Amino acid sequence: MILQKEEILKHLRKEGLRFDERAPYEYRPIKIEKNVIETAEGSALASIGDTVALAGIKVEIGDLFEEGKANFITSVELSPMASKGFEPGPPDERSIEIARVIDRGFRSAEVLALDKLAFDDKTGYTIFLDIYILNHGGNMLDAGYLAGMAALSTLKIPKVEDETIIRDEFLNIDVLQNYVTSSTFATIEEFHLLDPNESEEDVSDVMLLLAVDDEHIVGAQKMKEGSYTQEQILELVDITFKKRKDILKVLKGDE
Amino acid sequence: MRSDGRKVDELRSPLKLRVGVLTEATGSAYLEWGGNRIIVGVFGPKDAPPHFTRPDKATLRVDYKMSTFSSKEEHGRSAPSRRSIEISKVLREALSKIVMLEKYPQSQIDIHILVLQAEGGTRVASFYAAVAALIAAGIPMRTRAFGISAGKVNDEIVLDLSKEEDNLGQADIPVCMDMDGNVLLFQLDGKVKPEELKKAFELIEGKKEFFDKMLREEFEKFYSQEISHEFRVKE
Repeated sequence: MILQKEEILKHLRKEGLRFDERAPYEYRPIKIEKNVIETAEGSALASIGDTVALAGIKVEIGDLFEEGKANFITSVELSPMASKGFEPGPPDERSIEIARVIDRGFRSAEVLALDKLAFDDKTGYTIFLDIYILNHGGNMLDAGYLAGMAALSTLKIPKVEDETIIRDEFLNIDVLQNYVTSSTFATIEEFHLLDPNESEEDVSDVMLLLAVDDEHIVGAQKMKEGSYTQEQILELVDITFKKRKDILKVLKGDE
Repeated sequence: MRSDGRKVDELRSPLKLRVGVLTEATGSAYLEWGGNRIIVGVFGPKDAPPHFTRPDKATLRVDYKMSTFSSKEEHGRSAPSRRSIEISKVLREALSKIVMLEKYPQSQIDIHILVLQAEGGTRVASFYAAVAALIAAGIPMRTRAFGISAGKVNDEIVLDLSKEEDNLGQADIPVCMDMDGNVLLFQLDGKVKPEELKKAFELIEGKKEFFDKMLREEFEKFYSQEISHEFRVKE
């Protein structure tokens, strides 16, 4: 159901609630299923409401782009089965933006110890993190971050012998050193809506993604044509840190 | 006896079908079959763009794709390979026979297939999942249909090769059939004698009731709305 801006605003002003009865800073239900793909070296399925993202990791070996640091490459595919609006074909600006924003967050937070995954200055592992959006109900960025983070938390590094990967033997090393969580907001006039659904995204004036670790902001992206005041951004940063605890609980599961 | 202990006509397990797993697609299905995990979304019928329009029937588009992490081996390419372009074509041709395209002139039906995890026989598994997704989309079909790959291992015709059998196999014969045994998709790679092909067809047709029953049982649940629409990879 695609709702008009006026209806959404009327409901917010009258009830203080969104059309699906959520409070402005309330997520839809978040679910994570880890280790779902046996052919991958790490994987997870994440859903936020109707939005579903599947992340899988493949590990390769090769020349390094940066001296002494393993390669880490994130890609996002908006599968055409996820929405009427998605077409098969090479990545468009939307999927490239999502992939780059997610990549920057994981890199800035040093989620993986990439230095431990280099063999020497020039050669080492390459980690391919690929995220497929399978169903689009709004807020693909947070769903992508969740699936990607959950998949990274399951990553196993295969052994290498004579410059060949042994696919079913794994190293006993811990390369996960941080967790990133993210919050995306869609702003419609004076209302900031956390975890926007598709209608809210469509009618919003401006959107903001914030990614954080325990102490730092590790990624941010303002989207759409509107603007924020500095105070507004700082307020949303505060909300993002507050929401981190709940998301971490789901991410870490029963660990 | 086969290397994994199956009988010649025994299919790999798990073999589980779920329909209605996606909310944005008109119809959808998810199939777990051995090590294959396949999700299909159908969109349409919808107006076709002018260059696709056919005055007498709908245009069917099929897009078969493997995820980059679907293989135990190396990271896959994200661009369509020559293999997936060919599979999309033979699947489209097979499905065109049983979808009542003439009901929707000047329209278009899109079928998107994503192989999340692959272990041999993905094209026939994709075909069956696509049939389920089309029915879930409410698109009229002439008949139900299914597919199985037959193979020749140690000079014997068997159904539904495992990965290990495929590596040692002398032939791979993917076949899709309707419920009258008409052959909708047929490919052959390797060497078989005519009587072996006949045997393969017989073994495959012997499974039609099994696949029909799985479809009917899943749709009974679907129409009585007993199933949740939540997508899970592991049931």
